[in-house]
Amino acid sequence: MSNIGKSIPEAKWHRLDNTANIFPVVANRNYTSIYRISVILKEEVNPDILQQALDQTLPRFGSFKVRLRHGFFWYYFEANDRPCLVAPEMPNPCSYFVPAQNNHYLFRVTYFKERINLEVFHVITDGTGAVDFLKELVRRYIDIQLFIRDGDPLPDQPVVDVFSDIEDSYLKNFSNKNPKAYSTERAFEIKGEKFPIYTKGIIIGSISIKEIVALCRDKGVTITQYLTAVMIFSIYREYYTGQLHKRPITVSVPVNLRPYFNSTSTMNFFSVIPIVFRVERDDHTFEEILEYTKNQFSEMLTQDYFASKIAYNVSFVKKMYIRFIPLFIKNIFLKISYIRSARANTITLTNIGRFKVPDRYKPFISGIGLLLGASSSEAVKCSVASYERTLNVTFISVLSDTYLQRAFFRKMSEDGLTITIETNGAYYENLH
Amino acid sequence: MKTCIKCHVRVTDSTDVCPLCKSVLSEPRGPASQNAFPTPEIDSKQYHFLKRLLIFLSVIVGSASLFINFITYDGFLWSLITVAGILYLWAVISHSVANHINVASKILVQSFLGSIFIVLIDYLLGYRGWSVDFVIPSIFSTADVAVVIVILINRMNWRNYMLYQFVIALLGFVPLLLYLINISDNPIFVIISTSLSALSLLGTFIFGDKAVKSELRRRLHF
Repeated sequence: MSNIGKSIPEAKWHRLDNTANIFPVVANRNYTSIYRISVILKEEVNPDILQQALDQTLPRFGSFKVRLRHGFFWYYFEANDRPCLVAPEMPNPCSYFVPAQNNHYLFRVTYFKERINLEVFHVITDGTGAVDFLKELVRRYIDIQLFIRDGDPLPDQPVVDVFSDIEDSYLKNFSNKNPKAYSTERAFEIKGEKFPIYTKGIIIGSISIKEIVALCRDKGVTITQYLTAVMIFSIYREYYTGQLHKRPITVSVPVNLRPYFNSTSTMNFFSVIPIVFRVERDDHTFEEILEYTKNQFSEMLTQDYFASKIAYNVSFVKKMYIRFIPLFIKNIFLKISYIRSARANTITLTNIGRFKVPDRYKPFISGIGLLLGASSSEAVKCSVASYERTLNVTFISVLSDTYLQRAFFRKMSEDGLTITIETNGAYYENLH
Repeated sequence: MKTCIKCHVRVTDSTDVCPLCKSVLSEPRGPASQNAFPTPEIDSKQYHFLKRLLIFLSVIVGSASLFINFITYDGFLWSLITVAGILYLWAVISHSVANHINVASKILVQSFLGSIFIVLIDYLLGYRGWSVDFVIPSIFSTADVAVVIVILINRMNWRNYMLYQFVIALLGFVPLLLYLINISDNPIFVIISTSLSALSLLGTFIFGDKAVKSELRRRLHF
């Protein structure tokens, strides 16, 4: 045997962050826990340059250059040295992929026409971490392109502050003070006729930032608060007409925790605030819902609130008797608790905010998009992202009807916003 | 630009109806636009005939044997062996035939499920103890040897087999335990299984270098 005497290569490893443990357990073909952030360039993407850009970017991002492994008690990440290949975009975005068929990487870089997509399995990082990776990737892409075309030297200054900070900020900011459990009260569930399996309907509404900022300033709310209120109002108007369900409308809004705890982690560090609206009458006005939403936000967007959420989550994994339960048994309990928490949620609305790049790169980028994976347990999801003058609201749905999306965009145009709609074409299929 | 008069939205798709409300758009023949997504694939052919046929046959065979056993019952529950056999077959199909699963993990799961199956058969046939006396020690002796062969063939990949090698070796001590609490009474098979397991562990500690030991630490971190 030729290998005798050679030492076996050793790979670095690190633990999953506190939230990440749930994702490998619940992910399957239906609920994928994959989200996608895309940058739209002004010219068609060149796959060779994209591959070069990825090859140069990936080694610096320790939280992306990993594969997932089973330990006896927990999952863990191990450094992955295989090549990571770019590929053309597949027809159904955010669909499940088996890491083993992706050189064990837990993300994918794909392209379609002018668009570069980063599809990320939530286990490695949240939206903030993914935006940083994508930003650096796109910047490399543009730099290489400029170098080839005009001979511009490649700049060394990265566009992100931190490449790789593998820190479990949940553990770091854990204190045992008044832990707060997640609400498990069942929420109203949006139901309807479904598309064939794996097919999803995507509707993107583009709005001018100027218009929406002026409107929100007028109403004295933030953009996320306004959009959340429009969401609650649309569900209320579309699904509670004449019939008052007992279950509340619950909109989950993910929040980036880094600013609250001064963290630069490149792993997951987010939490979710549930905006629970109880329908009591059949004449709630939009203004009333907006006021309620605003108050809920200011009540929950505090360091104390998040600290007690973290205390609750982390206290579990700190318990010795839980740490020594074999992984496959832990996973059964995780799955049950996930199903309970998913039922407490009507829809997720996430806003990753503004995508900012240095001036050098602005002439080459025309837009940004964010897409979440929808599933039968949460049929519709909504994501918001903005770049320069445009804000995009994207709906992804497994339902073939568009009642919620229609009510949502109609309400916004009633408020005087100009909306431009773009879809993935799934809603036209049955017309042919 | 094409506009929906009912929704008051502009539409950039190459279509003549509003995607939100299906109303006809004004200016349907507006400037030609590009689709922003690859055409969605309606995947209705996703249909595994063979799998469905096997499920169908499994249910029929299982319930038929339960039924026949029930109406001709003479004190012997042979139908449970059939049912356990069918369940075992499904475990084999879903785990051991799947491509992406670690070979060592297949050996472990097979030995474990196989042992349970054998004990069940022994029990239903009036428990004479042959399962714990002979079969279980043999299964784990074979598993010990099989894993070591896998490791010798692909030593660079030892790290990936390590956890399973350890669990198999530990299970190889079960016959000794059964012997000590007088459930089994055949010392020869117990000695073989125990010593093969001990050799497997000893070999790891002596031949395994730093990488192998650090592998153990990460696999067993808690």
